[in-house]
Amino acid sequence: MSHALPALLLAATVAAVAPRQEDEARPPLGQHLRDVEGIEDPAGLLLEDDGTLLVLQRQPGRLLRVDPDGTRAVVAQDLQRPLDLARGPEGELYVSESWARRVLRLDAEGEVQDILGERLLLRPAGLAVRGELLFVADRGRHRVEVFDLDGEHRFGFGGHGTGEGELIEPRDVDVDAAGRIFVTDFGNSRVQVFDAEGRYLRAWGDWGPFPGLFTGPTGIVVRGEEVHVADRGNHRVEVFDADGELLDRFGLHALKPREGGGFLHYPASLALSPDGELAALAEPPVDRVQLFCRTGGSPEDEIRRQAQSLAKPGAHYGMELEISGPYLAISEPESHSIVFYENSADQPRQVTRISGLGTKTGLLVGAGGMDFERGRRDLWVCDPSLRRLSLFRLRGSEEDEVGYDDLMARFVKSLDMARFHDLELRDQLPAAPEPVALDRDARGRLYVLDRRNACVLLLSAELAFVEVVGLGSLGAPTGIEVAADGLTIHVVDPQRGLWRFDGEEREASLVELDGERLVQPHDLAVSSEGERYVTDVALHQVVVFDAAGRFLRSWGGPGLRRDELYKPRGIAFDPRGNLVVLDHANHRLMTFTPEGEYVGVYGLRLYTRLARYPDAAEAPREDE
Amino acid sequence: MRATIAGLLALPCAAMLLALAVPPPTLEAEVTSNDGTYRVRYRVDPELVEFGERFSVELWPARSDGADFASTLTVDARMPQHGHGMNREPIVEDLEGGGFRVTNLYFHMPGYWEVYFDLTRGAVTERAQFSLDIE
Repeated sequence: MSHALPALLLAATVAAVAPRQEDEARPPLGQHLRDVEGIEDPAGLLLEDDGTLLVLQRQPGRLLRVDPDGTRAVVAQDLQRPLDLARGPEGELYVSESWARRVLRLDAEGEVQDILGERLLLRPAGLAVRGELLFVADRGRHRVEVFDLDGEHRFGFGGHGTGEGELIEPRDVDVDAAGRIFVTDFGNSRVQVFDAEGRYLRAWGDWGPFPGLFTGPTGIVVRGEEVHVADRGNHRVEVFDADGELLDRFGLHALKPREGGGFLHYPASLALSPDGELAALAEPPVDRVQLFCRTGGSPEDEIRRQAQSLAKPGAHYGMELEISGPYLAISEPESHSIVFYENSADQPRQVTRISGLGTKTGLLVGAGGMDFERGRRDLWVCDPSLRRLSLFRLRGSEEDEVGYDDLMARFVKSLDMARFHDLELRDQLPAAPEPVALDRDARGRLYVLDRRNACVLLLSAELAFVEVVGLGSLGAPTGIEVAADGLTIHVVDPQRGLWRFDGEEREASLVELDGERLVQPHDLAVSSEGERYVTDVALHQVVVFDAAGRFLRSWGGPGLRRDELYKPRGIAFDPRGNLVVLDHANHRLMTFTPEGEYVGVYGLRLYTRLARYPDAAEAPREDE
Repeated sequence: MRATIAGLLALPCAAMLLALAVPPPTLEAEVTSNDGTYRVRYRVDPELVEFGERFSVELWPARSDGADFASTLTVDARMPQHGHGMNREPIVEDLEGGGFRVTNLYFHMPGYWEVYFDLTRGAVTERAQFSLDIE
């Protein structure tokens, strides 16, 4: 394909995005301006010079306008998990719909005018419009696709991998005045730069907390000679020149619950106003957008900025947990490791940790769901970024005295899903599986939830292919639970609902999302009586259904008290029959009886102290 | 500084880790891979690994069930308590008789190291390993 056209089209945009002459004299961005609270699950942003903000909300799927005086208006709704938006030359808006696998063109009033990228995109995320071209970062296919504004596909580049020009879950894209394409390569914790025809030019960054490094870069905005990158896991923004030289950074990790005022929590997207005087950052875990302006340039400002030394990784829990016997395993995203706790005492005690960041055998890039083999000490870990299943094993027995032992677990073996697809699955599945969760039956067979093909892949205990379940039915599955006999499979699907596949025929039934009882489910645990305990991220609740799918009860609601949760994720029964809930945005583990009565809490003190008081009014203030 | 070789069996207890005898210089040690699929005989040269000195390993892997080996080998080493590996890339060469010689092994820090033999057949990679305490 000729790439002359995109180059010409980009050349025409030079004047529109050329750097302002006064850029060098301007003080840096980073002074907190205001918090915009109560924006549920914010994603892509557009920011005007006057501070007017357009915010996409993944859940509920809508586009919200927030005026500088705080007035809010819904511009568009019924969007299917929208992730980003960009404005076109005529004022039109482009919105990526992750679940619908497409990009919408909306007019200024939010009416749909056209659909782009259908049948080509898998999980479209970040967008950029430059001249007559639309750039789409496709997290699902690990590529960047480029369309003209009529939806004609022009070219694309990337592909899954760690080499030059390869990408793992690219989150965002932007283009500079010279037509160079900048991509946040989330899974590889780097920024990659391509020429106007998609040829690799350079990359910078690596995983880590030090200046110039990233822990999962998300949003990217190029303004003049400055490249602004939202550094999600380090809770900051880093500013580089076009060659990757670090110029500046701002933002500090929030420590207190829901802390704002310039303290950040997992920024997922970034926008700058056209004049570059304002910046906005979306923080989905705390349902908030923060606005920043340029500093006053005073010595005090500079001292404050210098005081922002290293962004140190916190000890956050990931989204998944698993329990087997006395042991509880949680992924820890900052360290890319799995942390094991002994959970038979009143308080969990950390006993070991395994793995770390890397693509080599035994290491992890993006730990997903896990499964502890019942009655044994084997832990399978999904890594969708590497398309790999890894097996780790705890040595010793449950009778051993437990204490911290950093050599207690070791890597055993792994299954490379891309290679497996090449060898055995080409006739079964269109693409290499990306495992996000798994469970096993009593025969040791593995039921692997594959987000790439949206199905369940059943493997024998010897890791041979057995069958595919749910292909064509599932939307965006996140959790799976399998009965011991393997004849009942529950799948949590935030796009469609709660699936159940029964018998040898895998007959499907669905508890659909109803916007009230179930909105955004994430994980489930099934009791011995068949009751289904589902965490719902949007409701901040645990929702319970009986074996027939009838609603029984729920508990939670947003907050920090002992009867509250904030964006709960993983859930599992402990050996005492209680439920352990990974209260993700509260950075804590909560234990409840099956009826929802509080049993205990574990985690960072700031997030757990309120739960320790039966009457919240008796709890000391945070600054005491 | 000197190192002590401690061969690791597939599922040892902690005490065994420290108690296993140092193999005599000319003798090989043997480990079973962590899921039991392979047995690996190996010999470290020099027998006493020095901190900051390169060393090599010769190894002869085989399937525990006697089937054809038909697998590929990758070698690495890490300090699991420190969360990092070596600062050199090991070089693997074939030896006659189905063995391998691994060179460019180098421990740049004293402490507890694990050496990994990752054996791949089809899409499955299984690990055999032994450890060294570098004083």
